[in-house]
This record gives sequence, C-alpha cells and structure tokens, in this order.
Amino acid sequence: MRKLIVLTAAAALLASPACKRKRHPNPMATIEEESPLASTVPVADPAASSQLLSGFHAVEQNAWRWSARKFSVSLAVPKEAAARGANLQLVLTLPEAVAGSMLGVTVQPSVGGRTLEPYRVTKTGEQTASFDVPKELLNTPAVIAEFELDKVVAPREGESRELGLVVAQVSLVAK
Amino acid sequence: MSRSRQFWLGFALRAAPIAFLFWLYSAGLRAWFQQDDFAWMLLRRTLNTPADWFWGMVTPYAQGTIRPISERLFFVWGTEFFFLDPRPMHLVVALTQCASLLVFFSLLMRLVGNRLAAALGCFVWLVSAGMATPMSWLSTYNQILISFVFLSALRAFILAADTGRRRWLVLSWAAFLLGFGVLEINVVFPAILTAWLMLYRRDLWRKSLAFWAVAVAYAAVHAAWAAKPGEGVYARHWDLSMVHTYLRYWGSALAGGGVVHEWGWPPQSWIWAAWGIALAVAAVLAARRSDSVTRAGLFGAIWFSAVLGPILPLRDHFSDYYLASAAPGLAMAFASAALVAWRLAWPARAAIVLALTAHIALNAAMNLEITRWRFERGERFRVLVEGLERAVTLHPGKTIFVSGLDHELFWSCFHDKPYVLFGTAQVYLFPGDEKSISGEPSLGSITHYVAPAALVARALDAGSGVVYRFDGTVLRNVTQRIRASLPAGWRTSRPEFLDAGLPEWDSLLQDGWYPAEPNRMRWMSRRASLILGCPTVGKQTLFLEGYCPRDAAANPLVLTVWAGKTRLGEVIVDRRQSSFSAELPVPEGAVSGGEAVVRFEASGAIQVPGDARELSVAFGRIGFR
Repeated sequence: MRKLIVLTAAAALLASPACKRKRHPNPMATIEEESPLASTVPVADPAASSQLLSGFHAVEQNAWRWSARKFSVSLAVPKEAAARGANLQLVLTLPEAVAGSMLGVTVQPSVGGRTLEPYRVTKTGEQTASFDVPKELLNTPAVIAEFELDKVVAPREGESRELGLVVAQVSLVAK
Repeated sequence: MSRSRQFWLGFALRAAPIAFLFWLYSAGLRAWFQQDDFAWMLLRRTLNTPADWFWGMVTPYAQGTIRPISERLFFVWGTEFFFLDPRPMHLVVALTQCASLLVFFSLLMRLVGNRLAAALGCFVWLVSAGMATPMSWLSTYNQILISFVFLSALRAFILAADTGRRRWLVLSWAAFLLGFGVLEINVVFPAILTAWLMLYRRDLWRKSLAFWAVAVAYAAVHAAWAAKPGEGVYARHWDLSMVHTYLRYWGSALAGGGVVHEWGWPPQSWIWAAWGIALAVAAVLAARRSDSVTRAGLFGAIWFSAVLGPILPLRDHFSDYYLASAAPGLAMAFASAALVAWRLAWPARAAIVLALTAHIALNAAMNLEITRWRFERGERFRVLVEGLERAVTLHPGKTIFVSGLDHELFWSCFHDKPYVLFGTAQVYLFPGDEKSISGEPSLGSITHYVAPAALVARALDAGSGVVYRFDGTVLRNVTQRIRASLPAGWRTSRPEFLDAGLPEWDSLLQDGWYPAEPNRMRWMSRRASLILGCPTVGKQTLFLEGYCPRDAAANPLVLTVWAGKTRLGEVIVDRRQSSFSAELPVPEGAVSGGEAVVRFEASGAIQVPGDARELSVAFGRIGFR
C-alpha cells in the first residue's frame, strides 16, 4: 500500500510537466469586427474562416485543421507583391501517427490557375512549405491559392474523413 | 456483526463525508480564478534566477504574509503547467480536504471511540461556516492545507504517544515544520498539542516544550522580518475588541449569519440561533462533565479558540474563511455532544437534534450560496480574461481599451492586472467607464487604470489601439464604431499621465529622450522634459515609475524634478534595486492652464560599451494624480 502511494505521488509529479502544452487562446472569447481580406490566414481563427474556401475539416485544439486531399484559400495580395513577387507559405504538420502512410507526400500548389513548384514532406512535425509566386500572378487585390496532395489517409473505422495534412496557417508574403 | 460487515460499515462511514464534500462544493470546485489569484499567477513571471526563486519564496507580501507552500508554490505550479485552467488546482484542494477528513475521522475515533460520531463530526466540519470560501477560491487553499497540517501532526503525535514508535513522532514534527510554509497560524499548534496532553496524557507534557520553542522562535523571526500594517483593515488592535471579535466568530461558526436575510427572517435571528445552539451543546456536555467523551468536546472548544487566537486582533478584517481551520474543533464538540446526549434522557437528545439541525441547515444553505456566487462571478471573470488573452494574441503590440466593466469585474479581476499574464501591460479602462465603478479605498485608486482620452484618440487614429466591450458573455471588438464617434476634444487634449515608451506620445516629449524601447520604456539622458495635462481641481501628486541600471558603486542616483517653474523635489533612486517608483506632492498653484512642462535632471549617467548614448534612467509611466 505504501509503495502504491509513493508510486502514485511520483507519477503525479512526473505527469505535471507532461501536461504543459502550447496554449491557444479560446477563439470564441472575442467577437471581432468584420475585417478586410487578410494575406495571412490562421486557419483556426474564426475571423478568417470566410477565407477558407474548401477542403478544411473542423478546428481542433483552437489551433489547426485537418485538410482534405484538395484545399483552397483566398488571400489578399500584399501591397508590394505586385511589383516584387511573393512567397506563398503553408505552415503544416505531419503527425507521427500518420507518418507511416503519409511521409513523402507531395503538396502541389497553384495560384490563379498556374501550378507552382511542389513541396515534398520528408519529415514529421511542424514545418513551413514556401512556394515562389511570380509577380505577374499578383496584379489583383486577392488570389485563390489551391493545394493538392498526392496521397491522403483514407476514411477508416472510427474516422469517416479523408485526412491530408494538419494545417495551421496559409499566408502570402511579399518578397 | 461479521468482520466483513464491520469493514464495509467503516468504509461507508468514511466514504460518505467525502461523497458529500463533492456534492456540497461541486460548484465551488469548478469556480474560475478571482481576486488575489491573478496576483499569485503573476508571481511565476518574476522567478527567473535561483535568487529570484529564493527571495520570491521568503519575501513578506501584503500584510506581512509568508506562505511559500500554500500560496506561492501552489500557484507557480498551477500557472506553469495549467495556466488558465483552475481544475487541477481545485483537484488538489479537494484531495487535501479528503485526506483531512480521513485523518479527522481517525482522530475522532481515538477521542470518542464511536464511528457514527466520527462520521457526524466529518459532516459537521464540511458544512461549517468558512468552508465555502476555501473550497471555491484558490487563494484561500492555505486554510484547507493548514487544517491537514494540524490534524496530521496531532494524529501522528497521538500515535507516537500510544505506540511509543519514533516514526510517528518524526512524522508529527515533519508536518509541524512544513506548516510554517503553509500559514502563520501554525504557531498555535503547540497550544493544541498541549491541550490534548493536559486532557489525555499529562505524563507526556514535556514533549510539547520543543514544539513551543520552535513556534516562539518562528514568531520572533517573523515579527522581525515581516512588517505588519499599522493602519487599514489589517491593522492589529490589541484591546477589548478582541472579545467581541471572538464572540462574533463563535456566532458565525454556529449559525452562519449570512443567509437569514434571504429567508426573510429577522436580521438578528442568527444570533439567537447561535446562542441557542451553543447553550444546547454546553448543557449536554455539562451533564456528563466527567465523561471521557465530554473531554473531546472541551478539546474541540480549545482547538477552535486556539486557531482563531492569532486573528482576533484583526478587528476590521472579519472573514468567514478563517473559520475553516478552526471548524474541526467545533465539529469535535458537536460529535462528542451528540454521543453524550444519546446516553442521556430524551430531552437531551431532542436538544442536540434541534441544535444540529439548526447548525447544519443554516450553514449548509450559506455555503451553497457562497459557492454558487463564487462560481457565477468566476465565469464572468473567465469571459473577460480569456477575451483579453485572445485580444492580445490578435493584436500584438497594440494598446487595448476595455469598456463595459462593472464594480465586481473591475475590483475582483481587472484590478489585479490579469493581462500581464499575456505579456502586456498596455490594457486600460475606456475613459468614462470609471464612473460606473464605485471606489474601494482599501484597494487603491482606479484613476491610473483609466486611459487618458488623448491616448485613446491617438492610438485609434494611428491604428495602434483597439477597443473591446464586455457584454456579459464575450468581449466584442468595437474599435471602428468608437473611432467613428470619438469626441473632438479627445484629439487635442493633453494626457494627465503617459507611458513614456508609447510612440503615441512622441510629440509630447521634448529634449533629452531616446527612441522607445521594445519593452515600452524610454531612456533619458542626464536631462529631459515632457508636457503633461494637469488636473484643475484637488490635491495633486506627480508619480514616476522607472528603471535604473544596478550600480552599487554609484549609489544612489538623485533625480531632481520640476513642474513648470516649481521644483517639486528629489527622488533618491536606490541603484541596488533595478526598478523604482516615487510620488512627489505638487504645491497648489504650481501647475495651471491645463498643461505643465515636467523636467528631470539626474545626478549621474552611464555609457554602455558600443552605445554612444548617455543613459541615466528609463521611464515607464509618468503623470499627475
């Protein structure tokens, strides 16, 4: 009995640091004013949800969403991008849990209908995929960025969704 | 009764009070952070080096308190690992109280020898006046933990006395010594121990002497180290008012005192109820004066009085939660009186049943009210603080103005600056909102929480500020609506105080200033001046908050201050400390005409290698009030 108490106490102490997680503010805690189209879209932010056009599942842990095989986002074009070009950035995570089937997945983006250089996911964890966008595609106030994956986790028992990558943010940054 | 039934009966009698605890305090154990909780949560941000940790644990805080285990480490742990989630901390509170109930049951078994009476004692303790606050407000966990310390130290001592085993005595000492890190009233434990020895084991009275020696030594060191407030609600009054305070605590413990208004009873009826309950219990115990069970009742009364002893001089700070750690004494008295009454004729039984019914009904109802109230206000605080967290995240670097706060939201939440948890101090009340919040002189002034109208106008025009309105369930961003309807005078007015590091004030800073630092402070060279608006009525002071590099060799730095042509005085900045604050009186007529030029001259300055600037002090907030 005494050993059990000691072990329980030790486990509680050791478990405490494991409880520390990166905190994400409650997205329902404020109601923001209608904002103009943004060039950076945190996909979990309700204020930016109108810019997610297709291919995103529900927000999880106030921080990210699973994508489907194809997903798209509308983005405002930053002021100087039309003159200098821009980088399309996708902040994504490949979780260990799906690495077996998804490691090596290729992300194929397109902007304004033109395909860009693809990005191959060769490691697990959070990473930023950056794609060069020529300036001639950025002569409009906003563009639609589309992404397509060459493989996904198919629906299975207990999970009816088609899962691609974990996406946290999509942005268009002037060079 | 078979051994199996004996076991299950014993188990049920111990488990029932624990189940009752979770039922009675279910709302309290879900209550969100409030009041002092935010100040304790901020402590973690100040602990960076081993020296910070040491001084952070032993430096006396407000009212001279030093409670590293029950307040500082408790909140550091909670904030570090769970941040804005109070549930793990409430779980610790609940588990501590569960452990206390088991030890209390064991103690009562030893004192009265009856399991039903022991279980009754546990129930009575749980419903006691004073329990609701520590079961729902995390800053008062010290009351729950000190009860556990008292009970375990005493129970272990009794086991050592009964069995002669040294390990129990070691455990008793360990609990007693840890108690000094929990709550200062731990010094009364030797009195509780001596009372038990005198009533039950006089042959061992010398064993209490070492406990007394440690308690007296702690009291002496504490008195020398921690300054006690000489005025205000925490001032101590060593006079006859202590008798009144003592009786008042007895009355509140016996009959609540807070709930009869809700029931439409006469306001003084709880006092009559308290006297009735006290007389019934005393009469029953007096009927069997020589009974060993009666001694437990007497011991309980001594426990109650001893634990309250140190707070009786706090005449103007009568707080129900102080009763939580005294209440085991009252519960002992009730348990022994009930057992004695059951051995007497029916009038004694009837009297004790009536007394217990009145006591439990009045106190349980009050505790339910208090826990619900704490839960409901906690939810409002959660909306505000989570809203501020998200606002800071969505608008990094911007100044945030909050409107729609009422008296409770301000004084029990916003006042403790919970937004600093999110790394910003640039959060203000929207000008004019202070009119719906009445003053609390004991908690300080509201004025420096209110944004100057000029700051709102400049920040909104520059896009460096946002306005949120609390609407009860959410913080709503109303920046554009407010910007469109700002009074014209706000754009031309002068602020009565300003944060020197905010770019909005660049035009008010005259000579001698360097560009703002990222931490919202601004260095001055040896001399500098700025323009402030000044109040037209009332006594005024000029307050300064700033930072001065540590330099013991050039200590102190003297800062001379003028307002207009009037020399306000000198601020002696201790260079062994990094931050400083000061307040200088402004003579009547020294400033007039709506604005004043404030000038500073420092006695020294330093130069950092690689930096050509001459640096004397960095200012944060400067202003009239």
